[in-house]
Amino acid sequence: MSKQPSMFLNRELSWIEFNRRVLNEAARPDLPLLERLKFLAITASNFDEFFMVRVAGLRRAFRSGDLPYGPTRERPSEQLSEILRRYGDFVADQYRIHDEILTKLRQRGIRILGRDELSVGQRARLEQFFEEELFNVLAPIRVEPKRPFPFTAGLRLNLAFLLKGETLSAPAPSPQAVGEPEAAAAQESPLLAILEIPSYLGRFYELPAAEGAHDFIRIEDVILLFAERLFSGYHILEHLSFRLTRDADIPVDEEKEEDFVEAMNKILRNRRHSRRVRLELGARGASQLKELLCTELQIDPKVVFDCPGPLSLRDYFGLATQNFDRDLSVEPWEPVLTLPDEQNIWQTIRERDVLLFPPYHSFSPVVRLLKEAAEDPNVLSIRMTLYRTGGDSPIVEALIRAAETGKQVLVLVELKARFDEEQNLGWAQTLERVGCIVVYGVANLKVHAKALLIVRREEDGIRRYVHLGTGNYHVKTSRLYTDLGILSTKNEYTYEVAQFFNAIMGYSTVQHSHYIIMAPHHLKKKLLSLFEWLTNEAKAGVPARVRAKMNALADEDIIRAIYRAAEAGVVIDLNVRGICMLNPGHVPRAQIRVISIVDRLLEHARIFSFAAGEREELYLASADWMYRNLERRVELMFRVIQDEHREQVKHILDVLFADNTQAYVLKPGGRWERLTPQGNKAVRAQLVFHTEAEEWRKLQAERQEEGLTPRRRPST
Amino acid sequence: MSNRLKAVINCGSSSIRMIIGEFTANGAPQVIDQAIHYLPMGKDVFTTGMISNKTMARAMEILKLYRELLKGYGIEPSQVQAVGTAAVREALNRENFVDRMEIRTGFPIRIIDGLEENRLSYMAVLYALEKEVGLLSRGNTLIMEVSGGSTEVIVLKKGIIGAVHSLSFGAIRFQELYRQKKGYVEVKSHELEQSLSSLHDLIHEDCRHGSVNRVFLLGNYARIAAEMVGKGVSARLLEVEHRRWNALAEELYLMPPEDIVNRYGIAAAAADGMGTALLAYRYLLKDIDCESILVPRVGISEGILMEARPGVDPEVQSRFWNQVRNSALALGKKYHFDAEHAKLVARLSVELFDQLASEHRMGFRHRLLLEIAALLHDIGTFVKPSAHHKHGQYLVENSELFGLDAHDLKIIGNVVRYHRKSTPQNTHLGFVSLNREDRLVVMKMAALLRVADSLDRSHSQKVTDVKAIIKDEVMELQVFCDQDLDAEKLSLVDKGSFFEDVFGFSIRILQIRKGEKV
Repeated sequence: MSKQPSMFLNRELSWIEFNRRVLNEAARPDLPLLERLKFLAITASNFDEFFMVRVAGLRRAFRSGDLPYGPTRERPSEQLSEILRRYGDFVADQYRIHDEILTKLRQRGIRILGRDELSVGQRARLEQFFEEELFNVLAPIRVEPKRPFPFTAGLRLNLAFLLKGETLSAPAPSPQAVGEPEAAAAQESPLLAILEIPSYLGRFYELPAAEGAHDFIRIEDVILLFAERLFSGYHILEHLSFRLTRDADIPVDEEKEEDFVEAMNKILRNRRHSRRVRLELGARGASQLKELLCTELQIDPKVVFDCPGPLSLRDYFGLATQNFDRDLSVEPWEPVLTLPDEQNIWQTIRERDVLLFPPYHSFSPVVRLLKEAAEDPNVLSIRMTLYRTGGDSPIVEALIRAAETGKQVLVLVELKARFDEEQNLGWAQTLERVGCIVVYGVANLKVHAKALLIVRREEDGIRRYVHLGTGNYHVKTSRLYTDLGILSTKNEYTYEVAQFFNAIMGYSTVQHSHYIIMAPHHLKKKLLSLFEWLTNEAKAGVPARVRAKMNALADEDIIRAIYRAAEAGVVIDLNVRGICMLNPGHVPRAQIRVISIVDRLLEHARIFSFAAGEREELYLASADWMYRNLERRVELMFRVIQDEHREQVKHILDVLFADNTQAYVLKPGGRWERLTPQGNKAVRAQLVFHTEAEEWRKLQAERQEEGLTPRRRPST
Repeated sequence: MSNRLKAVINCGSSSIRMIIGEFTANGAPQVIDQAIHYLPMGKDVFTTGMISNKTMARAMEILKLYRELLKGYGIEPSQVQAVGTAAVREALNRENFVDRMEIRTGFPIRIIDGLEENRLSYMAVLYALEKEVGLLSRGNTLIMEVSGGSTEVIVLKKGIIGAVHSLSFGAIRFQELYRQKKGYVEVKSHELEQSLSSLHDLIHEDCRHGSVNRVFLLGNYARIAAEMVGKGVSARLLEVEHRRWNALAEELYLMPPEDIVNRYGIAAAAADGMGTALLAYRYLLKDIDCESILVPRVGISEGILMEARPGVDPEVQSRFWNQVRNSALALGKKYHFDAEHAKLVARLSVELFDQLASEHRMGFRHRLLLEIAALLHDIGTFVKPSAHHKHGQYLVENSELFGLDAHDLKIIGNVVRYHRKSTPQNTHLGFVSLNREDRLVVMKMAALLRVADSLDRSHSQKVTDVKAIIKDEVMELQVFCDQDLDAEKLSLVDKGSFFEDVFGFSIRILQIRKGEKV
């Protein structure tokens, strides 16, 4: 008798599989080299977070008893060993691809030079750079035996040196020298010194090169060239680059902490000293140093990784986004401005709802709406949530301006947005200083919902403008993440968005709603009831189908509901970018299909369609179907109500599910298989959306030439 | 522009709720924002008699938050209609509460009584029905609210008020008394039924001539329950199967509030009293044959909003005044009044009121009070014809009339009191306890009523119209009548003197017969 395939796939392994799909892009010979380099950097950056959060969490769970947990009921130790095994393979592949890309870049005249490849002129330039700029900012620290290891921040590139005192001369130690070397001791056993490379120096230093060529050198190599000057009186026996990763998750005790802002500050201070979860070591040799460093750092050898190349591959981001030859990068996709600047934005939104699909469509109308609101004397108040928002964000600027011009500005700032806490705290306090009412999140829940409400006094009364979206109010990521948003003045939205803000700002307890469903109070219940509805319809013989797109599917209850629905005959089509714990093989004969799209833009929109017979309910959401989104966060799911928008969203789903070039399909057991057109017409969803946006742009331009500017809705 | 916005705050027994309404171009109100915080004011008051300092402090915080929310709409606290119901009304420290709230938060809170709540509930139902108000004129309608501190009932027959009841039974109040008396909280359903049995019987009596075609339940408890098990009929109205409602009552009434909170995800403070309230509803609706129950998503705040509409929506307004009149007629009928006489005197009173508007300068509401007083001026005869004006005052002041509050009833009672015999004296407690303004109003209305009453002294409706013309300190009353008017003329000599005292005009009657020229 064959065993039924397991109900759930392991979450962490599914995540690694996602990163595999990203790495596959980096390995594609048909892609421009810098695009490949970008994907490589993404995988590295993803794994940094993975160690800081997931591996750190598993290690904590392991230390506190190694009890099986999560839907798969696996022990942390089992999960960890499988993760580390796969990570080892992953790293090997990363560097194989890295070397290949770099070799090919070299053939195209873009070289990252080794220390022994420099021309005389280049070397002279570096010496000047070292003497004038580096020498004074580099501060090596000596590691004393039997004393605590000096503080080393997470994710920073460091150099370790093994030093031996020179016996022949005894010059005075330089100011940067390793403490106060006691000459006698120094001469006997070698000394360990470490040097953190300040991140503001950048990773790659551009060198003078021949016409049309670009030469770079890594910052650590610049330092190594002249490192002996930092340790005068010593001789460098060995050197080694290393990089530590620390546990990022230190929970705030929200019950106890009275002043959340203060508590957050404390965490940020503590995080710098949190547990070490990974040690990456640079290439080749330095065997003494490696041993010494591991001993001094007291780190579990299982999480020490020897890297066959330069550390911190994510630093290639900077290089990948430079403009070299055109064909080294992908052709840029300019977002289409579907709400032209010369149109009165208030009037336009008043006349019709606007569906935005960044980055195919420009996100700038949202920014413009805020900017105009700030200056408009008829605007009474602005409410908005901010989760991740860039530092010098025009959005924050507009809010400041609005407060200065006397509007009531209420902002919910989510300080707990991971890795952005420090930045968020800074401008949140700025907002407060200029008179905005700032609410620092909601106790025990992370506010992940993205909503904006502007109250404006108009001729015929009060009118409210809302924006609801699946992505953050972040100008930069709005060009890289695909998201959907709605601008509207419709009562169905405005009333309930006002209710939502009342709830999160403390004006009111949470109320029932119909168009805007809020987590954690109602969202999961609503999803489950939608599944139940379809299950019942399917049992009654009505054709029923779910089409859902999200970043991750990891909620146990939802997955069970999907299985129940599938068993009853509901057709399940899922488009899951990242983690998927649903195992499509679990229910025999069920029609469950899971695909995942990895392409140049990060798939980020959450779109859910529930259909039975003639009826189809369509939703957009800020939430993934994960426990943390549905139960531990404030999220919004909102209904698409306008017919034209419904058609557009359905079209978007059609295209997303038709992708057969950038999509993978999930096989029973958790393996992903890349789709190919196989004789069908090749469909690349992101290219389809881009082309459609371009066609719309052309159409607009033609109309303008004809002297007509009909306000057509963009077809997506 | 902003005067089209109106905010209303209701400090109730278990919550403080605020709504912000906007009036559309045709004056129809639309709630555009609302906020609610649960606060156990009723619990305080029904156990200790006072609103505790802690609760007061929390109320203040809530009102300050509301003030901030209102600022986002450009509304000042002083422009807000804030009311307090049962819990505030009965709190021994209510003056203190009202004063503190106004000083610290700027909201002037007006305390309203049960009968006004009743009227506002009716208005709330009209708000919920929107354009479907015509529905009420078909068959019988029962409107009911069980809140933390009181229970209000309205019976409508073909859209006309048949009866109104206001009872001091409330879910929180009952639980707290129960706890004090018995030392435990598990409410026994038969004991709850006992304390509601007289209301139950009254409702059934009111409805005895026909089944109830529709039931509206109002208030937080009903709304939350309907959201749990009902479905939306419109944006303002929910519908629940009667069967389902009863099942929910069974399920919840013994359930500890924590479990209700966990199972249904509602606010803890909202769950308090939920089971008891649902049980009360179930009992009061026990023998009512109605398949489904309608629950407006609104409360008396929306009723206040309806009343605050700019300009008068003549239809709804006249519908409302008719309800008050019908309620008075139903009361008159109960005491076997001479309906024809009462109606004529009421009409003549109003005619005089309108024609002498520039002399008395009273407003529309007083016109209604005068009309009601005229309809009811003789009901004391039911007790005993001699001194029936005094019996009448007692009956009026102890009855429930739709749309009128205790203060209104006191004025009407006084007008009834002075429609004959003695004029107001310093020894008449019921009169001197009125403030100066109300005393004047009573005197003017009683003077008009006396004249109108005289014109049908014989109770035979000989005079059908009257025209008052004022010339040099004399009011000439032109009456159109072909019959002999001796009794009426004689009566006017007697009753007219009070009119002369009040208005300073002597009365001259001029009878005009058919065909005569004026």
